[in-house]
Parts: sequence; structure tokens; C-alpha cells
Amino acid sequence: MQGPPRAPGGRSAKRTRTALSAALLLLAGCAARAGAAAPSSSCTPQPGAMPQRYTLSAPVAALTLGAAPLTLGPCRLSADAVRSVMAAASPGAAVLLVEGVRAPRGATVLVFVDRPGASAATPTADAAFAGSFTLLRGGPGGGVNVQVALAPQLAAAVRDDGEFTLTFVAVDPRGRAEDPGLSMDRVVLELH
Amino acid sequence: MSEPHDPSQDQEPSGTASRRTFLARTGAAAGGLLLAGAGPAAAAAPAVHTGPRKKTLEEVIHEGAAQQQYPPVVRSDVTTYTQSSVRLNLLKQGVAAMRLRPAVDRRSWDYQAKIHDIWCDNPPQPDKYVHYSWRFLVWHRAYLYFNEQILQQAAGSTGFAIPYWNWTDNLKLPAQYYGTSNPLNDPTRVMGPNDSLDPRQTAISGLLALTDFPPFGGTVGAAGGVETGPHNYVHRSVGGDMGDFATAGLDPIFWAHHCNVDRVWWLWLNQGGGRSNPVDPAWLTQSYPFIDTQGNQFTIPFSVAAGLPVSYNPPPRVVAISSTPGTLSGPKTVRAMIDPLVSQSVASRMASATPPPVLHVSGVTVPPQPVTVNVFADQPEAGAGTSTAERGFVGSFTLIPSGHQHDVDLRVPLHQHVPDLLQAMAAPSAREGVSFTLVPVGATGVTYQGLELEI
Repeated sequence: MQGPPRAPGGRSAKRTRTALSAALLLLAGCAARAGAAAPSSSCTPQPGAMPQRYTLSAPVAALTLGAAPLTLGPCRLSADAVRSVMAAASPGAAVLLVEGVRAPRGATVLVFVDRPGASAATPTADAAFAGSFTLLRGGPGGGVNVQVALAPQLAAAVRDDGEFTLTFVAVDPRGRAEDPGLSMDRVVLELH
Repeated sequence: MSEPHDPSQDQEPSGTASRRTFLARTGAAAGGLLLAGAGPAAAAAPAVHTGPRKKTLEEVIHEGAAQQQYPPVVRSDVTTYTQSSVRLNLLKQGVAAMRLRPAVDRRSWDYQAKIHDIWCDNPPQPDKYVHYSWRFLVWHRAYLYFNEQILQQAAGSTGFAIPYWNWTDNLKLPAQYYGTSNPLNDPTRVMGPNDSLDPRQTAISGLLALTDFPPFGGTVGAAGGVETGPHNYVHRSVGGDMGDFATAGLDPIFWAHHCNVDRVWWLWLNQGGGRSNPVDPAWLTQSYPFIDTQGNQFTIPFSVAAGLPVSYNPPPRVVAISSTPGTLSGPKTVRAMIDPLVSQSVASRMASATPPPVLHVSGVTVPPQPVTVNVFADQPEAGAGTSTAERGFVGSFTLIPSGHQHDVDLRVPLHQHVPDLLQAMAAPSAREGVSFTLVPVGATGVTYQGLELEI
């Protein structure tokens, strides 16, 4: 499925995107910009839950990641959450939990924070690169859950306006774009 | 415990089976085994040392305290396993010997790889699946450790350990693991000797900065960053057997890779700062079966596995001095060309208590008479009469004949007059070379294969 045009990365581009997406945030929460049909989510912390959890995709429809990058968000953190992330001493203060990941052929997925234009050509030396996760072919049929610590990149993203996006890029072992046929049930940001 | 090494085993070709062949060959042999503590099938598993009663946490912790029964292992960077080194040859001999064993032998290469297939691809119970959870690091520590014991036994020597492939600093698959007649080779690999990993995906600084175990080592139901980060990335990048958990253990690089994964865990924990392993009884008491050097199956809990006595030498900065064989028929002077970056590093650490440089002398033939070899730095005129009180004297080694004539690798700490030696290596002139003079005293005729300086 062809998603809407992706805005290039960078803070100035973000200003434009934020204005456009405010309504989207109210209506559909954190939306997928490419790949599968956009699921809705509240993108707000679960009441009383510790750690604070922000769901960026709802469990009602699995997200799929093909050769085209997949961007989720923007998502807005509460003011308290922003302060917490900014004060984080460890990358583990903010952890991305990706649940129910299935990649029968194997996959390597690069994770960028607030770089909606990221692609396989974006160098992993980019400051927005938070990490990657790789699945080998085979594995449990029900999918697996993976974690990526991203507090430093998240802190840089939410510093000004509390908003961020997540972009997933599938690459082969040589860093070239590939279609891994990957699906994931839910993407959750945990703030500890 | 040990069995003599048959040199003819060095001729074993390094071929590995396809996944289908591998599974067919080992499936019947291993499929019904290694299920101790894993449910009803455990009753059929022979040689299980533990009884059916579930241990209390206190008992498990007591077992952990008794870990001294396990011999300590110190592992080193694979780059110190030089092509002419004795320990690299021992590693090859051990692998070759294990490859020759029939698949039904629990100490065979195939059977050991099958253990990984069982617990990492087709576990008898879903909650025993090792990967993508907090079971990953600790299970592999025990798997590596007990495989290493079998490997040493197969080589007939405890004078080596499985080396680690430090893929953070060395992005290419080590050359020691390639070669058509090399038992460490695996022809199914996709990654060639000139291919490099992405350094950003093998970086560990972000992982080491984590202070809580879950994002680092996983939770009961989610993988940690070590596993799905560099660990899985390297598996997939190497490809072939390594690209599939069912066959990964067949590739000898698997073991060097996992030693490095284990080293990352070891480094993380040793930083302190509140870092600790899980204390949840559900983690501490979970147990798995492994194989000892006699081929017996036994079971240990994670509380014991986590405390197995493994440690790691730091990655060295090795400066090759001479890769050609030499004979000490008298004083012999060689020069080590010190890279400016290394000189700067030495200079920056001169004030701190760092370990002394080490001279590696590989493939040394022990002479029929005892001999001491004194090592002098920047003193090329040194001879048999030169006093060891001289500031240029930096270390020595002594060779005592034994009943067995064999080559040895020597690791000679240069711990005498260290400040002077460091000064010489930190000097701008070091790039032109620092001389080392080896002076045999008592006998001559010592031969060696190569010289390296580890800084």
C-alpha cells in the first residue's frame, strides 16, 4: 500500500509536519505513514501503569513492513514524560517494545527516531539512528517480542515540542533495502 | 578425562552438512535426549544427574556457591590466535577430532550443534525456548562452557580456550576461520573474507550504558538488545549455517561469536553501577541439561550457569615484530614498529597502572638443556654478560626440557623497568621502531616461529 508522501527529516521539516498532523493526532492518534493500513491508537499513557506505556499501533491490525520504510506517529508525550526522558541517565529509560514480530525469511530493521524520511540510504551514523533488531529465518510462529533502548534519540526528538515519530527501515545484511515480509502486532514505547 | 590427540585428525575436511542432512543425521540421535527437566520426556533421558523433585531456591543458591568445582576459563581475542600459534592448532585439532566422532556421540560436533537446534529452534516446550527472552545469555554461557570442556578434551589439552571474535573492532570474519582444508571453515557462509559488518550494528557502547537487565538481556517474554542487536545481526550477516538457529552450531565461528556475546554480558556486569542479573526465582531455578566430557548428561539451573567461572582478556593491540621463524644462536635483535596512534595511547596511559606489555613468542622449540632468555629494550648491544639490573632489561623466560618434545607458545609479560619501556614506545621515534634484543643464557639453539608485542 502506498502511503502519503514522507516529509524529509530535520527539525525545520518537523515544524511543517507537526502543524499538518495535529488533527491526525486527535482523530487517529499515532498513524502509520506507510505500509499497512493505519491503525489507530491513543498515544497516551495507560492510566496508572508503570512503566508509562505509549502505544504507537493498535493490536487490531498487524503492521507490515516491506521494502518501503514504515513511519509511525507523530506521537506527543506528556510534559512530565518529556522531562523524564530529558533527565534520563540511561538509554534504557525509554524502551521501544515491538510485540509479535514475525519475519519468516529473517529481517534486519533499522529504527530511527524523528527521521520520517529515513531510508536504507540513511547512514546508521545518523544521530537519529537508535538501533536495530534482527530476526533470523524461522523462529516461533507466534512471533517474538523485541526491545530497543532509545532514550538519547528520543530526548533529542522531544526536546522542543514533545513530539516524535518512529521510522522502521528493513535492510539486508549489506544495508540494502529489502522486503522481509515482516509483520508486527504492536509497537509500544515504555518510559521507566 | 583426556584422550590422546590423533594427528591424522588434522586431515579431516571442513565440510558441513546442509540443514536437511544435518537434521536427518542427528535427529534420531539427539531428538529423544536432552529433555531432562523438560517434562514427561525427561523420564526417557539417560544419565540425568538430577532427580525429579523440584529444588528449593535455597538449594539452588547452594549449588551456585559450589561452582568452584568448575575449572576457570580465560578467553582471549581471536586476533591473538596467530596462524603459527600452538593454541590455534589445538583449537583446530579439537574441532577436527569432534567432527570425526559419530553423530550419536554426545561429544561430537554434530551432536553439540544439535543441542542448539533443540533448544533454540524446536524446544520440547514453548517456555523452554532459549531465544528472544532472558534465557538467552545464561543458557549460551553454559552451552559454550561445557562445549569448551569437550573441545579441550578432544584436543588433549587445556592450554587453550575458545577465542572471542570482537566484531565491534574487527568487522571482518577472522581469517583463522577460512581455508578449504581448515576445520574451522564452513563453506556455507555467505560472508566472505573481504566482507565487513556495519560498525553501527555491532557497536556495544549503547548496550553497555544500560543499567537495567531487561533492555540489555531480556525479560521472560522479550529479547534484550544484545540478542536482537549485534548477536542476531552477526548471525544473519555470516549467513549459511549461521543464518539459522537449527544449524548455527555447525559453523565454528558460532562459538567465537558467542564468546563475544558472553564477553559483552561479562563487561556489562563488571561495570557495576547497580547492574545485576535477574533475581527472580523463575530465572534462577530454570534448568537445562548439558553434556560433560564423558558424554554424560547433567542438569544445572541458571543460578549455577550464570556463575560459571569465565573471564576475558581485553582485546590487545598487537604489533607484529617478526612473522618469520628465527633461531637464538646468540643475542638477536628485532624491531617493533609502533604505530603513532598506539604511541599516543601508550603515552596517555603512562601515569595509570595498566598491565605491562607482553611479548608473544610463538612456536618455541624447547631445547635439550635449560635456557633462560633475557629480553632487553632499546639496548641492541646487550649480550650474555649484560646485567638484568640494566634499565633496558624488560623481562625474561626460561625453558626447561621435559620428556615431551613439542612447540609451545609463550606469553612473556615485560614487567621489568616498565616506565622506561613505555617511555620508549611512547616516544616519537617509536614509529621508526623499538628494538628488542633476546639474549639466551645457558644454552643456544632455541627456535621460534614468530614474535608479537601486545600492548
